[in-house]
Amino acid sequence: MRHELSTIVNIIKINDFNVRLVLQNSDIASKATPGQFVNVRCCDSNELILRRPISILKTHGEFYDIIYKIVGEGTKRLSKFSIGEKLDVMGPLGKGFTKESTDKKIAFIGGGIGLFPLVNAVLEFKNCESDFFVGFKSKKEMMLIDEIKKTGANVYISTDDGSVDYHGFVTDLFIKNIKNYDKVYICGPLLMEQSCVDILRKYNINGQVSLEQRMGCGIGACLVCACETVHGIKHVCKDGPVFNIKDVFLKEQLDE
Amino acid sequence: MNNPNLSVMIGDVKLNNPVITASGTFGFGREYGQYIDLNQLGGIAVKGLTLLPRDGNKAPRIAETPSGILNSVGLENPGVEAFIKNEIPFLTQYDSKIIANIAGSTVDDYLKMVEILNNTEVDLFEINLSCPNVREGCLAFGSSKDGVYKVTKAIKKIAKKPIIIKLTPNVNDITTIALGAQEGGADAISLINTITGMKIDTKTKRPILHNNTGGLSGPCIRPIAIRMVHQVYQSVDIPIIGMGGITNLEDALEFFIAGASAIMIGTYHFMDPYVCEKVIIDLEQYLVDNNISDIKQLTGSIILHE
Repeated sequence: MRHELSTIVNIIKINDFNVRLVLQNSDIASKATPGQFVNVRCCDSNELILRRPISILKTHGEFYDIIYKIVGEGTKRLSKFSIGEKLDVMGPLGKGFTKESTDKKIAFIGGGIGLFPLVNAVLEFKNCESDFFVGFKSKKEMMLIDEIKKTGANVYISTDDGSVDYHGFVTDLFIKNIKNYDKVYICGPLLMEQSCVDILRKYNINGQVSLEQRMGCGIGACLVCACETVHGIKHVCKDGPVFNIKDVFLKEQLDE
Repeated sequence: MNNPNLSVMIGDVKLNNPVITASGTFGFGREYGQYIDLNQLGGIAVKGLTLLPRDGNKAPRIAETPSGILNSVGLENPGVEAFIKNEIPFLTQYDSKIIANIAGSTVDDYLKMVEILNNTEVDLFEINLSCPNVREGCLAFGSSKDGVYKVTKAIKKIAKKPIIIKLTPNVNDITTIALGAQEGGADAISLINTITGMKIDTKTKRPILHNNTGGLSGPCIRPIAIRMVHQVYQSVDIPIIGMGGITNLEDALEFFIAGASAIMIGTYHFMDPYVCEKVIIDLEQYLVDNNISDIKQLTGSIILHE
């Protein structure tokens, strides 16, 4: 089965580094669940041989949005595409965030661009009391807050430099406001994720964490994106990127 | 003109066409089977197998480099018994030939695996004497003519399926090594495996790969692979399965002209899951357009400058 190309219907420059693409592809938009990702071909030339895995921000009708940060050659090439052009995107891929019907009080903890996959979750996980904690380096990197607030979630913001709201780490902000959550969803830098997992374990709260690892194929064939779990070696692209916090060993990855 | 003949023989096994998925890039076929019809492939060389399950190396296991990638998976695999139980029943549903890629630390490991797999529906053995990402065995055998000869001969004595010896390019003289495989009784040679390389993160001064070094693959290694296929074709009589950075018909043709009887496509699957399908269709069309009745006529058709 050939995958259909995705049409770029809008390009929104969020700030100096982050670009939001609104893409049209009914297959991806209808199948995607929160926390899943797509694998994007950034250029036609073979100078870059890998696609770029990018999390799905939200879906609406036959459209889905992604945000990418211009960090290297691949995303620089991606930024050359214009509205109306078609992108070769594989997806939706991986296993995303899940919510039981009994999960009524939930929280999200996002660090920087790690908040992207959490946005689709807070949009989709309705009929819940949701707290959304998000940390940025400073005000100029802040984004998507209004969109999250529209869902009715209580939004808590931290900044490393104190330029907006809480001055400090998002994990500290979370501890200050912690409740007896049924489930907490985490995505951010590895160090932040580890701190969150430690807190949740201490308070005996269930959680799911989205991991990042350098990927190859994106579908589970090449085995490069390995991570250690209580069930043995798993692969972030196929078995994840979202894992139960009980299953993963983040410390081992940090110890490098 | 009738349909051209795309089939090729490796030992006594007939492949419907000469396009095979390269070991390590295609798992056991399940994942890419969602994108392409696996029946179309000439063969599937499965993820490298070891006698016992292996966890592989610590991540990161991949780094992108100009027109290529470095990998250091380190032969993560479920072991040969789990392969027989869980993967062979899946693979036998398809017309494409099953090529079991096997890697060992000792000659005995290879022999045990061949014995175990002899009585399965595996069609061919690909003997991996070239994995750069594991500490013991494997590559050590593939680095000398004598090593290759000994392992090949020992395996050939007991193997009930044709054996393909997969060679490493990380040697001084590939033709001598290839002769070792032929003299040991190999039915075919596949080359090239990856070239050892390294990429450094200049901010941290650490290699990207946790294993520090890894195997380079992709279009960047194609000229080296073409040169080696050409050299080996001049020195051996057994079929050569060429690989190294194939992305399309044009790349595939280069390998056939250089001396390959069949080709393997690996890394480019990550960019284009349909690459094998496209190359097979384009190859057939090429033969028709050029009035070539059999793919064999292309093999080694290179015209060198005087």
